[in-house]
Amino acid sequence: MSDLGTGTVIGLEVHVRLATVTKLFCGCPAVFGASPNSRVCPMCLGLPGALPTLNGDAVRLAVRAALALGYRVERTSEFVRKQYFYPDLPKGYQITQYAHPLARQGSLRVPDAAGGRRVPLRRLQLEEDAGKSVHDQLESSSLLDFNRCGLPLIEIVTEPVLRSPSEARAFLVRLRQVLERYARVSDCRMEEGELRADANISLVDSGGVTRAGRVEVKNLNSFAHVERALAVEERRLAARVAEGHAPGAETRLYDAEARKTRALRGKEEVLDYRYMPEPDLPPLRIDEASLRAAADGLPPAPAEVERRLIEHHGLSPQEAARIANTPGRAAYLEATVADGGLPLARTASGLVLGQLAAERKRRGLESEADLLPPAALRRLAQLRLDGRLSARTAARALELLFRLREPSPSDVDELVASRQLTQVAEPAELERWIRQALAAHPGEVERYRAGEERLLGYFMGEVMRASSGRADPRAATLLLRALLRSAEG
Amino acid sequence: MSRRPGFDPEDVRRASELASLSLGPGELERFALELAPLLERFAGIEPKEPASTGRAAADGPDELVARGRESRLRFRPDRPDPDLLRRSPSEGAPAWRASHFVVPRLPAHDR
Amino acid sequence: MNPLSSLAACQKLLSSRADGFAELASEALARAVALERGEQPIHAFLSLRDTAPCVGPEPSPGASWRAGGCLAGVPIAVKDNICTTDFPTTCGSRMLQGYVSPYSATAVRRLEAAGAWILGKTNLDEFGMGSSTEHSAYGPTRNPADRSRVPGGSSGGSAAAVAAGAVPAALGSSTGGSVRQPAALCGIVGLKPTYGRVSRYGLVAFASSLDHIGVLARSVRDAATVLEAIAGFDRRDATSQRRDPPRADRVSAAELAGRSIGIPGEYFGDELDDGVRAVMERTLGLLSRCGARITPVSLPSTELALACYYVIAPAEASSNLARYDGVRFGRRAPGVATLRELYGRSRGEGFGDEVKRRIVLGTHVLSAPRYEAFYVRALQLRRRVGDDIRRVLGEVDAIFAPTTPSPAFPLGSRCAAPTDMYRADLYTVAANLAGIPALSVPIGDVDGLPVGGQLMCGAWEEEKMCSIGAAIERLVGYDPPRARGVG
Repeated sequence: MSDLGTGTVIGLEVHVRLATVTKLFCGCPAVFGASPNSRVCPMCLGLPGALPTLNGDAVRLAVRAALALGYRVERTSEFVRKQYFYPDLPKGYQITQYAHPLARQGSLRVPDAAGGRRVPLRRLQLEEDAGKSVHDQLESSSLLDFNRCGLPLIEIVTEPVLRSPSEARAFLVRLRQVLERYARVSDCRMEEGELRADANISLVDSGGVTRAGRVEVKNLNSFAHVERALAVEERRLAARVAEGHAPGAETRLYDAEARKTRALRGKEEVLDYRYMPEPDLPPLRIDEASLRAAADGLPPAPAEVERRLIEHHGLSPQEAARIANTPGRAAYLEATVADGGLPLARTASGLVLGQLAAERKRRGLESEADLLPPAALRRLAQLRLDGRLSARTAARALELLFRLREPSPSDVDELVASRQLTQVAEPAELERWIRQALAAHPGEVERYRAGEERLLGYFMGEVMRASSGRADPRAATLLLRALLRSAEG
Repeated sequence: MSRRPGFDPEDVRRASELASLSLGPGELERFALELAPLLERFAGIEPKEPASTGRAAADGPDELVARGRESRLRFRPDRPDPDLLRRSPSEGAPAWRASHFVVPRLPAHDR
Repeated sequence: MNPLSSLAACQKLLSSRADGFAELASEALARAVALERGEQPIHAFLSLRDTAPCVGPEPSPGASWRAGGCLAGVPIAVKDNICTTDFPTTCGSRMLQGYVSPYSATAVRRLEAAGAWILGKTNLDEFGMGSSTEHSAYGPTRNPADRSRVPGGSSGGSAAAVAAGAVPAALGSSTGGSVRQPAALCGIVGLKPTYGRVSRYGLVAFASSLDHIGVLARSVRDAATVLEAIAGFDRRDATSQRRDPPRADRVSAAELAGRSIGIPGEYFGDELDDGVRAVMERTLGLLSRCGARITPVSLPSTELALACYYVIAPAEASSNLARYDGVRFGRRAPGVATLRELYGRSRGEGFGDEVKRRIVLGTHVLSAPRYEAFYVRALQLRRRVGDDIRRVLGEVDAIFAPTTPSPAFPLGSRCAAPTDMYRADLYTVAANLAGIPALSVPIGDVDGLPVGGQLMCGAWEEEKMCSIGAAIERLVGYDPPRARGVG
């Protein structure tokens, strides 16, 4: 009991529903929110004589997910029956994978303070979802809906290497990003059960010996719940260890309202799933062609994209993460800046994350690239970087460019010229705008001259207004000061 | 060496529990008696020749690849198959209420 | 002459008069009803058409059907573990009393597409588990050749219906010999095709890796004709194979000279009844006189086959029968208060003795402590059985052996020691384990009890197998038994 230096290890088991049109083993439509038992057939009800047939697109998406997570896809894998009795399991077994899963040994890089950490993934398997039971409508009965039964899931299991509840959450956020935005294999809507996570947590001493656990925590319906439930459980276990106990393996439920976990009553019978090869489905073979088809258009991993944005384009980690949020945005930025140098990349990144992102959202578009071709954005960013456009005229130029169809770089130049958006540093022009501004506000001029120097900003605003934003702010400020002083003398 | 696993009423009870099958007390004894010789005969089979490959398990990867060569799992196109949905599932249901199948109340948070 | 004794006889009546179908259908119905009458009814059927319609189903234009023997207007019986929308599908079980499937099996749809008229559903051992049709929840079927004896099983109802002349052909199913064994015991032809030849979609699963739909008929040619109609790839069964159906018009009884026929010594051991042995030896004499090369071969895994069959089949059965839980269809025990009670009692009361025995056995061999020693070991042995038989079939055209160790046994005689009955499958399980085609043809009788000889060929060699079978059939000239006391 001397060594109380403990650390936390967390493992996650994640189920993700693949975005297919039909179920995994039958042709029933895979839709959310249909009326109960309206999307069922002999196969998903387990009627006598029904047989499973494998949805090829589910396989493609599962392989694609595996590739996106760096797994080794097995050339031959196998479906098995996992057998137990429960009313949401119509056949008395779930068709899943066991000894020979679809893929092994993946990994996912999760951002952390030290610049990212590789979380090894054990296996990825393809399996069918169960039905749904409703408990709260009737006193003495439970109701069953089999619409969900047979929807395609992939199960992803991490090694137990996550070191904190917040890291567990970060892992899930990253996983969702990869599967939803990068690989696009699932919509990952947690509220609709498209991404479900179970966690297990143990406390280990400095020698890696388990001091408490392994405790499985269930009923985690959001990323926030995952983090909170694990934090609650971490504290509970630590307190038990401090009291001199060595809590063992158990399964606990998270109560989100009470922010507590509580022990799940142990099941009476011993679990023995009696796995056996599924005789209705021959072994699953993945050949070169299906690997290529699954990999088609698969972008590099977000961690890889972020690294490049930071190292090659000079973005800050925060900026890089925001740009890499979707692979489309990152690709757009990279196409825009090409090898235009760090300042150009940062300027373009600012425009993408600011005005372009806002406009894309407003219009409900998929990608910023739908607003402005990269070459046009590059020209605009270059003008801004050269000081020929001010923040304000650049914004105005973008607004005007959004109305054009696929503007070219010369369209940008033309627009800037015709709308007179270029910044003006020419003294005579500036002096005209300044005098105009000062003449309109004699009272403020008096106050400035009486020592109220903070009015300088006010005058600059008026100058910018008079110039329609074209006045070069640095040159204008210098000249404004000079003119205010000279009129004094 | 051949270890002969016995088969007694307790084995029958365990199996029937896993299989969710209520058996009478007489059936436990009787099934044990009837099935024990069959299991013993199986356990007593000695390989007449050494296993050609010396593999430990028949469901090892080699076995899997062999089976995969014999028969290949075909893919179904991801299109709805509407002719399976013609009849209401309520027609054969032992208990049905409000578009659901009905079972005795399940323990809360059982799963 | 009974117009239902063969497909040719049916076609003769159908083509001879405008109302031929109505007459054939009512004749079949009358004969089927007659099988339910008397002190010792044959009891071949569990359900029948109410009336014979005037017009039979038309062959559908899209049917993958070749000239060479059309089934248009022909009454056919279907084993009651094959799903049909027009009749209940009970599997001979209380569990499925009155259950009507919302879809028809692919084999049934193909029969109907070929114009066949399904007369009714036939009795069987519950879920196909048994070798005597005594394990039906709806009473046993009797052997038309001797009503005090069993017709074999589990397709005993189909065999009896064909043997008694109610239909020229019937569908059966075979997991360990359930088509060949009753065919042999009833004196008709039983054909089990290659695994993957006929879709299992709609065949209620007993042991999926061993289950086959097969055909019972009065001649090899008729069996081959029905097989041609139901065979072929089906996208609804992932284990069905893309192979052209075997063609009945390529079945030729002429080809026997020069054929090498392997005779496995292991099938002639102490188990073999002396009368059956004598019939077999006479048949072998006839074969060699016709120029067939009779070659002794060895199948050392014969005993192993039976042992591993009785591990694998119950294991898969325990899994396939888990769905009968009283929740979504079928029988639910009355007055259950808890889930545990719902499961335990619905299953305990819904399944018969033999089914429960096999569920217990199958669950035991799949349970964690026994899995390696029994189930995995049985899979290894299964491969050895297949290798053994394929090795022999690489050297000879066909293997020929008795179908069963003995002729039909008296009803009730093997019920006291149920696992003794398992020995009735000794000669038939190997073909199911290896997935190769096999055919039983009548080759004589012992004191009026029919005896069957069994042919086994390599996978997809049904045409060759049926040609040899047809030759044996002609050579032996066995007169199919007339059902005593039936119209």
